[in-house]
Amino acid sequence: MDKLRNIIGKNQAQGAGGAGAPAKARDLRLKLGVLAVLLLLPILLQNEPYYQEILTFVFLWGAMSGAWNIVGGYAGKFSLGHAAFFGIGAYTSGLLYTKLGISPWLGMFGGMLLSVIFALLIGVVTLRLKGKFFALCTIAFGMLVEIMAVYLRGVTGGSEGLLIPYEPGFWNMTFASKVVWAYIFLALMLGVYGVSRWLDKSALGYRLSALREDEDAAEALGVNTLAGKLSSITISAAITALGGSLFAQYFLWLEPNFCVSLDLSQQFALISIIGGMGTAIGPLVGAAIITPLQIFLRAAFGSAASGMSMMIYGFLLVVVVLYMPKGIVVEVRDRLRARRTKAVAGVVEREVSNVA
Amino acid sequence: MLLRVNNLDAYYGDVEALHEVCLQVDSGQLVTLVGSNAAGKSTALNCISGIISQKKGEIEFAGQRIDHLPAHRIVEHGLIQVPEGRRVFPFMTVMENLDLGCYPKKTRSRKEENLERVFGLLPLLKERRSQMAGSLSGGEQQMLAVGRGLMAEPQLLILDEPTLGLAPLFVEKVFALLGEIRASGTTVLLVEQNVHMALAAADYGYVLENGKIVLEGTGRELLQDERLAKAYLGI
Amino acid sequence: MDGTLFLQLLVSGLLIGGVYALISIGLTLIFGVMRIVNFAHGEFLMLSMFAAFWLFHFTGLSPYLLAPLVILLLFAYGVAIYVLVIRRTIGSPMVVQIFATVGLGLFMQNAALVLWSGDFRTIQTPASTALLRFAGIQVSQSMMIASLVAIVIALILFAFMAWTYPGKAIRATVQDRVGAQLMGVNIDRVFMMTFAIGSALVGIAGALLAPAYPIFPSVGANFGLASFVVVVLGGMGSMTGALLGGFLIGVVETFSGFFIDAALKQAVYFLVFILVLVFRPTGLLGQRGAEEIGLK
Repeated sequence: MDKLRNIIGKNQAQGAGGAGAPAKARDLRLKLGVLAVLLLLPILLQNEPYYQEILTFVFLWGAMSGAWNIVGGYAGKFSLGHAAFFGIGAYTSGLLYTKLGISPWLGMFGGMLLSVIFALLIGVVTLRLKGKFFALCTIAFGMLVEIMAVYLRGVTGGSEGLLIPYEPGFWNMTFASKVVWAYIFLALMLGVYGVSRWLDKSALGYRLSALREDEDAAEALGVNTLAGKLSSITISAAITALGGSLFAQYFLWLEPNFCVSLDLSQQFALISIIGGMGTAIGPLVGAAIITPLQIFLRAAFGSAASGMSMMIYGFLLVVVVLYMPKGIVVEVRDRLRARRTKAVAGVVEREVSNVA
Repeated sequence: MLLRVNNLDAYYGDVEALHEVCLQVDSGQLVTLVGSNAAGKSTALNCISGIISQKKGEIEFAGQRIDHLPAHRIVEHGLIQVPEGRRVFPFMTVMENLDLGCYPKKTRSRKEENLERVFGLLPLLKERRSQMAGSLSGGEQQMLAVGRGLMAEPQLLILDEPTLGLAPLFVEKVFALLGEIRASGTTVLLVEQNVHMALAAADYGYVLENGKIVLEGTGRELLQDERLAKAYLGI
Repeated sequence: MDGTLFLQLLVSGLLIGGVYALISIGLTLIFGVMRIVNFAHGEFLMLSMFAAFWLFHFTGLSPYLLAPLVILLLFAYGVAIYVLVIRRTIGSPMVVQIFATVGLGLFMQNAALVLWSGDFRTIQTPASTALLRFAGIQVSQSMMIASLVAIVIALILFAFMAWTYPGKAIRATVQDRVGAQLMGVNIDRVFMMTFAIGSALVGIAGALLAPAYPIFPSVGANFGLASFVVVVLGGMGSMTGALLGGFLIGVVETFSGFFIDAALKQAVYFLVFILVLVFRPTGLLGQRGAEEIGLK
């Protein structure tokens, strides 16, 4: 463990130092405050369907890019095929429900299971690939799932999509009130945040950051990198599939062109990267910035300029990776910390000179 | 004076690797820079040749400031470095490696003459000219690296640890070669871990320790210096 | 199976393969020299097809006559993108190397959608539909041209790399960046030229494909993915590999489309892609040492 800490020393040390007891209390108060606001928002926006929808999607995409972040950010393996997991989740529970009448509450476990199996397959096959090659391979896997979703027309409805009947009821996981959905996705997002925080502190998290910083060195030190990578990709895949199942019941319409597309995979990644990869909070902040932007732009430009939001995404992504590759959260935190350190140093210096 | 380095500082991140290094090399001399491992010798050379661009201080070559130039521009001035670890191009033939030696436009037109001169000094390269550089032995690769450097008609040839990891026979060959190069009028700046041989061959020497020049003098003076003898020559 | 049918499928496959090879040469060149996977490669192709379309639209000249202009435009675009984006990614962390071009691709594709709408556009010239017939089979003239040009370009690039000073400088940069700098090679310039030439090669592909395919903002997506498959199969950085990979993938696609299902032909080559990445990551003719740079 100590050796591991050495590998990742620089990053972790920064986090460990500094924060004293008052700072911790302030931190906790801030978090509780944010949580209270999040819990109140869905009710406050009850009669504002437009903002309610934005909020719901912020939660959903926050959760999904948080799940991507577990592989991309924590393990440093950049997947561009995560929409496959999302689609597998959505289609499994959606089909079990529409064709066999099985409750989505059960179906979603089916989706998660299938997704985990698929993730293990991908994992065993591709996780030894590095960087760009892993990304390329996940694109291919994603494309395979998309092609199959279109091809198996008889089952999935092909490219016309799968319509899920609207029959409100708890066991149908179909709700007349949108507030319920906001809370469900909020719970999902908080769950992902919890998993990420756990990763920040757990042995698995250390293992992942070790292999992210230097895979070969980690391996040489006896870290089982394959196990680490497999755990991260299965956890991530299960959560993503869960999100897919929930999305299916929320949206009631599945279309391969959207929910298994390369665009969606890219979106998971870019929200997380723009927000701040490898941190629990980054993807959530990313979603809070990106998702409203997308919906506002769609409203402002209409379908005529449907490319506008993705165009701006692309632009933002380029600018962020080139000029603040750690993402907005980390960049802002580093700057604040630097300023605080400077301020402290200034005080110390003044005191020292006073003494002298 | 061909090369003058004044108050050179260099950093690796926040760590200071060189501190106010001053040295000079006169035309026609063989000057050596010696010191223990990690003393900053390679750093100093890489600053001079422009491989390291983060540095402070003045570097003047043939009367012109070169400290702000990128490496490929410094090459055009006739300052050629034969790098540590040789860095020959492994998947190219010996001939192609030599070709690249006279990459600067000025020297390309005189490729044939330069080639003849290099083959004269290093007949081995002529034999091996169509062999892949990566398949040569370490010593042969070192000869190739020096030959490649000579193709650019250097005013100053800088060599970084040319004998590192070579068999004694090749070490002697390298020093003999350096003597010939110098005799032909090319100025040489040599970094060596083989302190004794380097000082014996040099007109002037500098001793670098922890990024600072701690001692300098003619080769003979330094060889007789007690402190140096204790520290490096194991006497 | 009928011999003529087999021949027809084979020739059609080879021609599609020639198109893929043509598209892939620029990608493999950029990867081989700079170790950068240009995830926006398909969008470069889309852009060059649109360039061909608009030039044709405004001048009415044959797209083949306009090809040099498209090539020039794409060369200039390559220089601009290198200066604005790519230069900063070299030697940067993996996230930067991958997502700078992913973002660029998203930007280009959607900017095209905003500027030019999602409509399908076509260049209607006699050349678009001209067929050549021989031995009982028929082949598209425009694809024939594209394939031949792919082969010629690969030969020219090969000669350029082997025998010219700039070519040697490029190879030296690939083999040892510091060593190349010490020879007086301006590696930033090498990278810029490589990226611009790679981009210009996509320009050629776009100009030659524009008369044969509909043109729309996401046209590059499938071609781009196909070219990744080709380049990985042939061996990243290998020109002859791109040719070989292109022809192979073309034939695989045509035969699997005919014998299995047209809707699954892409699935087959993605499977091939994954298998190659997993079992022979250097591809058929990959550079030695590829393991060290991207793979283990």
